[in-house]
Amino acid sequence: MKPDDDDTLKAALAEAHRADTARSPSFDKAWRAARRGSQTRASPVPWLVTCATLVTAAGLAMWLVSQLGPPPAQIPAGTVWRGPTDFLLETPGLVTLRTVPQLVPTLPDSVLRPDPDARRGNP
Amino acid sequence: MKPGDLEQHIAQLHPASFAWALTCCSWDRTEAEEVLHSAYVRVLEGRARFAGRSSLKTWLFSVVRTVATETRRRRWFREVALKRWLEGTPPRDSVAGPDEVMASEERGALVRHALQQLAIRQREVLDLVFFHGLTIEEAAQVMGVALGTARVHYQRGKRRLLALLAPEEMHEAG
Repeated sequence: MKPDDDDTLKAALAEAHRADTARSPSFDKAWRAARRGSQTRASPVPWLVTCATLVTAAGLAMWLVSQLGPPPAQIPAGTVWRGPTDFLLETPGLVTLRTVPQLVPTLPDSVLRPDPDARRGNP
Repeated sequence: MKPGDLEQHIAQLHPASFAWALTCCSWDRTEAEEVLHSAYVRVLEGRARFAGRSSLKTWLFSVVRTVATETRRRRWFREVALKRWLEGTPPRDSVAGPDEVMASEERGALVRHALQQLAIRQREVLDLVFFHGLTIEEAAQVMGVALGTARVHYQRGKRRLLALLAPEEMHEAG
């Protein structure tokens, strides 16, 4: 880039803006219009109404939620998990292990707990 | 700074501010006037406050730029997105076509057309430096970007604008 490129660009931009200064609107007019605009906009009433509405809506929503009560207890999805290799534990003898076997189910109670007098030989 | 002083300084900067608003609005006069009006409203309402961290010109230009960016975004939504959705019409081309520009036989219009072919940030930094006489650092403050970023936009924009203006220069020389 040559050093006089800056001058070229300066001249070009001055050319582009040549008419702007002449066309610029009057400051007093623009400032007065802005002042009017700021005075109309500065009113806090619409903001207050909006805020009051929002607060009321939020309060109503909270009250409604509190009236509904707690949701029914549910097991959340994903809490019961079965491993993909669980089937490997399903062995043929697993049924025996899951239940406690009754060792002598058919013997009468007298056999399991013998009378102490009979052991001593008393009539 | 007192409100009266501020008004006086802004009045002095008014023509430059309008020229800057025109650049931000791609030389759309009506939009530039609206942007400047909104910027002044923002200053008067105290939503844009001069804290003295930069020069008044830099601060005012950054307010104008912010308002222009917001306006452009709103206009894009209104004209492009909503219109396309509602009517199925193509968006308005804000950049004048080359034939239209040539017909105007005005060098300023040709330069403006060349400027509008640049990326927005390149156009902004070149305008701030070469027309408004700001340093690249001040331009970076106005644009709200880092100094390094502004430098990159400056270099690329300069190269591109010179390339766009070169055929015309050659034509004039010949």
